[in-house]
Amino acid sequence: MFSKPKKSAPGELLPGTLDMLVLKTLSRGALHGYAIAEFIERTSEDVLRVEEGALYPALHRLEVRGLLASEWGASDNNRRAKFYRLTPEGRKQLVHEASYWARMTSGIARIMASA
Amino acid sequence: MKIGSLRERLHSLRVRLRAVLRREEMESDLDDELRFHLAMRQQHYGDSGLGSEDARYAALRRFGNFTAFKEECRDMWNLGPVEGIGRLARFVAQDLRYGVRGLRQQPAFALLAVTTLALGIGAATTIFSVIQNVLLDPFDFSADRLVAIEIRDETGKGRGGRRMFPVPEFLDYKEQVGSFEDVIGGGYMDVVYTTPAGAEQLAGGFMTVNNFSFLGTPAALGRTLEAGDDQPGAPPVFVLTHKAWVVSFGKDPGVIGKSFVLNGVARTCVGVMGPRFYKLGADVYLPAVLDRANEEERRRPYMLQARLRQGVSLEEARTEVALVAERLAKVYPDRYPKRFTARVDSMIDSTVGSFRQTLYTLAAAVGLLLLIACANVANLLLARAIGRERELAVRASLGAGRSRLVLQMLVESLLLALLGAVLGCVLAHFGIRGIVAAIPDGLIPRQAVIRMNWPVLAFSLGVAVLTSVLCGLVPGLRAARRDVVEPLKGSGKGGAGDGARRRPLAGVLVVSEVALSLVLLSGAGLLIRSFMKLQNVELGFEPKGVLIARLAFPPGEYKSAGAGRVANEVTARLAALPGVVAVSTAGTSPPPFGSGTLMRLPGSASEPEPASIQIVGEGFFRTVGARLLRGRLLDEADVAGARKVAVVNQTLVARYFDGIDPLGRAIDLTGLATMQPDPVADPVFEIVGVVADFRNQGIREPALPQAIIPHTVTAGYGRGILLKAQGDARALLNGLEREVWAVDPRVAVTNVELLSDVLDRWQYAEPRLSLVIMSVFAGTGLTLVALGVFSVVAYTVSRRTHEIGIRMALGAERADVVRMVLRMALGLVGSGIALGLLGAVALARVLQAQLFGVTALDPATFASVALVLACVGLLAGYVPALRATRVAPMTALRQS
Repeated sequence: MFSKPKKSAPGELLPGTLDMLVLKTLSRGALHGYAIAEFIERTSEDVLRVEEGALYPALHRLEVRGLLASEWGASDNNRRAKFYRLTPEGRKQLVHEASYWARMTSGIARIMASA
Repeated sequence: MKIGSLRERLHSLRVRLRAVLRREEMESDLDDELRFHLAMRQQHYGDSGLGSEDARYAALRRFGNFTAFKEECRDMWNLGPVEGIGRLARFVAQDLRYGVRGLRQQPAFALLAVTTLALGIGAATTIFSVIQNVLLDPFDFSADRLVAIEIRDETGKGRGGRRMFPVPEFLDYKEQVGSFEDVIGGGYMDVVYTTPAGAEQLAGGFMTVNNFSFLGTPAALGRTLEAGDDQPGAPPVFVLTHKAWVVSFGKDPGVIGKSFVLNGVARTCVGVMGPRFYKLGADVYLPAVLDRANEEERRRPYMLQARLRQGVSLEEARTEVALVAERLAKVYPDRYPKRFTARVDSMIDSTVGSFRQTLYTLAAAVGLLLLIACANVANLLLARAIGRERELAVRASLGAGRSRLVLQMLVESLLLALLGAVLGCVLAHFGIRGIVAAIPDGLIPRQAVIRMNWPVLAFSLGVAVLTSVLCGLVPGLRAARRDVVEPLKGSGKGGAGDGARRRPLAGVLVVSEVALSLVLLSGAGLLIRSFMKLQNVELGFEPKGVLIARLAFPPGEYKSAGAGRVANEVTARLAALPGVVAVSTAGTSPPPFGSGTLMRLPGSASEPEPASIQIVGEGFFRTVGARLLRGRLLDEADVAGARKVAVVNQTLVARYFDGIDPLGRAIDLTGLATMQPDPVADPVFEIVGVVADFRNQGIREPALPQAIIPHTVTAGYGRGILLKAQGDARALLNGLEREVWAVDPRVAVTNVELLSDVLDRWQYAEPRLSLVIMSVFAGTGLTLVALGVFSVVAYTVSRRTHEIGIRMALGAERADVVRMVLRMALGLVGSGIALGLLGAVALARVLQAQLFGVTALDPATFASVALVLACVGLLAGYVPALRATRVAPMTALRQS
C-alpha cells in the first residue's frame, strides 16, 4: 500500500543533461512544457529528440526541488497552460551545472583530440 | 539524486504537503498539463497536413507512455514518509465515513458493540482514576524523593510499627542521616478552642515551621508558619486549614490577624491553607518547638518525613537509616523492640499502605473485564465480517491489498472504541462518584482527590486505541486471508457443514471469554466468602447500640483527679438519661481495643512484651457486653479506690498462666511505669477476673494479651465515654454534649461515633469495597459472556437451519435438536471453564493477601462459580435451541 516511488529512468540523453537543458531554456523567461520541448528540439537542430513525455517528470522534479516555479496562464492560442520559470535557486544551479558541463566537455574534447 | 540544501528540502516538503492536502487539484492540474501538450502537438501535426485521428496518434507516439510519465510525475510528489501518512490519512478518512455509514445501517450491532466497549473502558477508566489520584499523584505537592520512616516490630508480638519519634530521637535522625536533604516533622495534639458558647475540640497538629516551604504549599490567605515562629519569645501564632476555616470560622477572611484562645493561650491566626492541604488531618497547625532541653516539648512524638538528596536512591537511604537506627536503639533501648527493621518508604507508599494491593487486584480484574469486552466485540465484528464477505471480496478483487482491508477493519473497530470511550467516560464519571462515596475514611491520603483529569482521559483514549486493535485485528486478519473467489461464487449461504466449524475463531473467542469470566467470578466469589467469614468472626463484644466519644480537656488544669472527676460526673448524669442501658468512662483509642503497653510477670527478668491495656469505669463490661469466664468484674469500689486490680483476657491467661489458676495472681504492667504524663509507680496489678477475648488487634488478627484496669489509676490515657443505648444510639448525641457541658463547659466532646461505624470503617469497609467492585466487574463479565455464548450459538443455529430441517424431516425429535444445540453451547462453556480454572488457580496467589478464612484455592468457590457459568451458558444456548426446533422442515429445505 505504501510502496516506495520508483526511480525515474533517464531518457536517451546523457544522464542528468535534461535538467540542465531545461534550466538553460528557461533562463530566457517563463515557458510551458510544450514550448520547452519545441525550443530544445529547434535549438539543437533536431539532434536532441527525446520522448516528449520524459520532459514532465523532469519539470516536476525540478519544481519539487525548488529550482523551478510554476503558474497557470494562457498560451498563445489562449488555452490554459502551466508556465515554468527559474527561481533564484534554479539560476544558481544553472550556473553551477553550466560550468561543470563546460569543464567536462572540454576535458572530454581534449582526450578525444589527443588520440 | 543529489542531497539538496535545507531550503530545497523545505520547498519539496511544502509541495508534498500540498500533494497530500490538495490531492485532487494537483491530479487534475497534471492531467491538464499533459493534455495541453498533446493538444499542441496534435495541432502541430494537423497543421502539417495529417488528419485529426492520425495527428492524435502521432502526438501520442511522440509523447511516449502517457500513463507511465504521469505516474512518474506523481511520484515526484510522493517522496518520503509525509506522503505515506497522507495516504494513510486519506484511507482512514474514507474508512471512517464508510464505517459510520455501516453503523447507521446496523444500529443494533452498533449499540451492542459500543455499550460493551463502554462497560470495559468505563470500568478501566474508573479504576485508573483511583490509581492515578491515589497511587501516582495523591498530593497537592510533589511527593518526589519524599520518604517516611517507620520502626517495625519484627518480634511478631507487637503492634506493627511506630512512626513517631520524640524530639531528641527525631533530631538524632535529622542530624545523623546524611541521605536526607531536609526533614520535616509534626504530630497530633488536641486543641481546645474556647468560645463564649463553650469549648470546641479541634484536631491540632504541631509542625516544624519548615513544613510549608519544604512541601512548597503556600497559604491561600495570609501566610504559612515561618522560621522564627518557633523561637522562644515569638508571638504565639497558628494557621488554619481550609476545612476548619469553613466549618468553624464561617469562611470569614477577617480571621487573619485575630486572636483566638487555643488550649488556654491567646494565639494569632496568621493564615489559612489551601483546600487540599490536609497534613496530619488537623484543623489548626501550631509551630513545633524542637528543643532537646525543653522538658515539656521534648516528649511530643513527631512523625518524620524527609526529602532524599538528589541522586540518593531509596536503597541507599534504607541502608543508612538502618545503621542510624541500630545506633539509636542502643541510646533509647526502651523505644526499640528486640528485633526490628527501620523502614524507609516513599511518602505515597507510607500513606497508601495496604490499599495499593487492593488497587492492583482491582486493576487486574478490570483488565480481565476489558479483555472479555474485547473478545465479545471481536466476536460481533467477526460475525459481521462474515456477513460482509461478498463486499470484502469485491473490494479485494478490485485491487484492495491485504493491508488495506486490515486497515479498514481496524478503522471500523477504532470508531467503535472511540464511541465506547466517550460513553465509557460518562460511565466512569458515575463510577468514580460511587467509588469515592464508598472509600472509607483514612484508607487513602486525605489530600487525594479522585476525579477525572487529563492523565485519566489520556489513559482512557489509550485503552480505546488498544481495544480497537485487539477487537479489530482478528476479523481484520481473517478478512485479509480470505479467499477472494469463493464468496463471489455462491449465494452466500453455507451448506450443512457451515457454522462454528467455519468460524473456529469465534469459538476460540467465546472459550477465552468464559475462561476470563471464570477467573473474575472466582475472584469475586473468594472475596465474598472471605467477607462472610469476617462478619462471622466472634468479636468478644457487642458493638450494637454502643456510642463512643472522646472528651477533650484544655491542658494544664485537668490532671488525673480533674479528668476523672469530670468523667465520673458525666457518666452519672448520662446513666440517668432515658434510653441509656449502661455507660462508662473508658480510655480512648477506641474501646474496647485498648492502647498498647508492655507487661511481664512481677519479678521476671524477661523482657516485657506487648499487651493491650484498657482503662475503664465499672460500667464498661455491661456496655460492651463482655463475657465473664472466671472470677469477678471490676466494681465501683475498685474504681473509686483506684485499686490496682485487673480483669484480663483469655489470651493473657494462656500466655502467662498456662494451667495455673490466674485469680489472685499479679501482673506487672511495666508500660505504665514510664507512661507520660502521669506514670504509675510500681504497676503491679492483681487479677480478679477473666473475660473472653476481644479481637483487640482487629478482626483478622489474634487477640493480644489484654488487661482491663480502673481508669482512676492514671490520667495518662485520654478519657472517653462509652454508652450503650436501647434503640437508636444516635438519638443520644445531643444529650451527650449537653450533659458534658453541664458538668464543665470547658471540656469538648469529640469523635462521637457508633462503635459499629468505627468497626465498619476499620475492618469491613476496605474488603467490602473491593468485594463490591469485584462483584460488579464479575457480574458485567458474566453478562457479556452470556451475550457471547448466545450470539455464537444463535449464529451457528441460523447457519445450520438447512441441516436441522433435514434432520427433522428424517424424524429427529425436538428434544434431539435442543440437545444438539445445548451440547454445542456446553462444549464452548465447558472448555472455557476448564481453561479458566487453570487460570484462576495460577492467579489465586495474587488474591491471597486480601482473603480471610478461605484459601485462594477454595474448592467450594470454584465449584459454585463453574456451576454458575455452566448454567448461564446453558441458558444462553437454550433460546437459540428453542428457535431451532421451530424450524419447519420444508421452509428450511426450500431456503437453499
